[in-house]
Amino acid sequence: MNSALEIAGTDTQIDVTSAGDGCKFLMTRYVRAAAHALAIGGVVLLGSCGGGGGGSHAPPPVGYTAGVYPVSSSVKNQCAAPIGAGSTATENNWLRSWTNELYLWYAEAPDLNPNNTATTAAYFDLMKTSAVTPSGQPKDKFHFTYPTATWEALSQSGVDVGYGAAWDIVGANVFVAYTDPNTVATTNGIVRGAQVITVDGVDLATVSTQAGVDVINAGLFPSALAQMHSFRIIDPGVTTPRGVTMTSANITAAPVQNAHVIPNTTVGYMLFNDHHATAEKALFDAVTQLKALNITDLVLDIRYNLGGYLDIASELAYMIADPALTAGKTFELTVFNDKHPTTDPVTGQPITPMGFHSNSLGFGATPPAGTALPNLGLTSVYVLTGPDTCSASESVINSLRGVGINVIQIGSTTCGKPYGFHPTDNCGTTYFSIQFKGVNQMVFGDYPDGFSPMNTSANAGVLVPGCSVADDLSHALGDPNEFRLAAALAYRTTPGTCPPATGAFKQMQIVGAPPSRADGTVPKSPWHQNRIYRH
Amino acid sequence: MNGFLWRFCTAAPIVLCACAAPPPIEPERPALLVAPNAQTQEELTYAISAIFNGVPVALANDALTTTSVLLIDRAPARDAAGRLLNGRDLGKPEHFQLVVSGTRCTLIHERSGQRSVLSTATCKPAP
Repeated sequence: MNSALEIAGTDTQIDVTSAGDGCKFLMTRYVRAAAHALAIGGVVLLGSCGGGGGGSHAPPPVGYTAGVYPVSSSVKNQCAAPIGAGSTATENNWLRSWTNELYLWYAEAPDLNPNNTATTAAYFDLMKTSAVTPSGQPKDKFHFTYPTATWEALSQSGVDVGYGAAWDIVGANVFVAYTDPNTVATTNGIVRGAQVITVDGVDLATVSTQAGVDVINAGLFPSALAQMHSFRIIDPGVTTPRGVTMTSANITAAPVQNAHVIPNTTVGYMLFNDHHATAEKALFDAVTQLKALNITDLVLDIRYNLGGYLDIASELAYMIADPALTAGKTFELTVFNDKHPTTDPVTGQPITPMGFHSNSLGFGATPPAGTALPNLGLTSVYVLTGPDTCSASESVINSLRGVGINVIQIGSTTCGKPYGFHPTDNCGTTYFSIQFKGVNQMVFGDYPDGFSPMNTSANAGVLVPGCSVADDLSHALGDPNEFRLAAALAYRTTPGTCPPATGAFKQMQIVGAPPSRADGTVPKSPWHQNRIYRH
Repeated sequence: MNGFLWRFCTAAPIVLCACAAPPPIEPERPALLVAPNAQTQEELTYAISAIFNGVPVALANDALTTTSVLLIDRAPARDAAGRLLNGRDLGKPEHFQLVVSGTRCTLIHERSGQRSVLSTATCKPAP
């Protein structure tokens, strides 16, 4: 198992220049203080200017023979000026070999002459499969670059810049999906379902310029600490907006919230939002609490859980399931392309199945590593899902199904990301190209269109027993009247019954949708992106 | 450590700070920060950053005030839709332990064993 933070490097100045449009971005790797802000700009500029460099005179072409690939390590770090004496073509050459060695679908990636694409960013964009999924979506939806300096930035686990409110963007409308306790948002009385009307004076309903959209994004997703922004919001249940001014801070997320027993039932509920390192203790405490209350069923709310540490997912799956079903079984096996059937090609470690962890791994100080995890001993579980249920969250669903747990899905189709990466730097850019997928005990991991409740109306992913139900921003999470939770409770009472299908497939764009029937996406403080809110 | 020495330490490899510190008089115990101020926060941030070649580090204002162990991850990196780039992470966080001996607070990076004396911090033994 690799370490999350194996960081090495030397101070390196990266000058990314596009000769064509005069765009220029200068940053220093590992510089302190302002480096982060510069790198943020780099996201935009790398996208528009290309990851490779140019030069005042044309460098010689690299050798190219179709179907013949040099070993990637032999052509790595041959960077374009001014970092090195290489060129865009040499950087492309590394990408070509690296893709051929490690890309999960390397045989479907084109073999392109590195000399014939003007920028490394453009070349990388081409280095993936063009196939589509059964629903017609691109087979590879996860193909990214990041400035290495930004990728290597660190934070206290679960800490991010913001206000403590997760925004739910539904078309052109912005609502509050949930808040983290003891944050700027809760201090200002902001609760789930509140609708943002204006940001720094710009009205979301009437904004018509890119400058206005930029103002909205800057306010919703502050890029640094101590940024003050003003909002007008409408609280749930009222019609008159009120003004709120919030100052950005380092927010500590609460990965597990609201664990409790639904009144007058033996059904436990918990909201699980992030597979952070801090989630190990939070899950341990929540499951211990629910077990002590003798619950017979569990509703696991992962509608906003984008993933994180896979080991945390394994621990959670163990804590839910009957241990007789998980003992000695595979939680997830990592599968690389057919060139690497037995050894992880990046870490060099043997590929072995990850089991269901019955003891804590010691992500934090407590519980100490090796502590026996509590276990609910269930043979079925209700999961509340949405388009933000992604990656490690989907692994919980897939792994439990793989050992025969009856997973009942209430909500909308999940994101469809059974894939992972070993992000790799070359010349100051970190590349994310799908290199492995996770499969369960049944060797199943093909859900690129996500998991969908059985009665999903169209373009469903892998069908799972349950009900298609849109998010319900008019009720608190954990409220038995919240539509998804209510549907789960009704399904438990009368198995197989569902309300009329309302869940969305992927990102349903509903302009002007009332908050009681909304199914947007919840980008969590993606302040380093150039555009999140769009109009 | 006075302000001058702190400025010296910020410009020097962290190991120099550790070497300059006198040997512990009392056994080290897990500790919590007491009322950390901006200077303490800056010193703590720098001590962690220095171990990772100076990369930026974001900490909560209450870091190490409720637990003696600090977990450090990569800052969350997301795609254009706000989703984690790597939502299937096979790694582990880095652990730092705060200890106190007498009045001296020391931050220890568990994996490397590197130690940083936090000269501006006040610590108390963790309960």
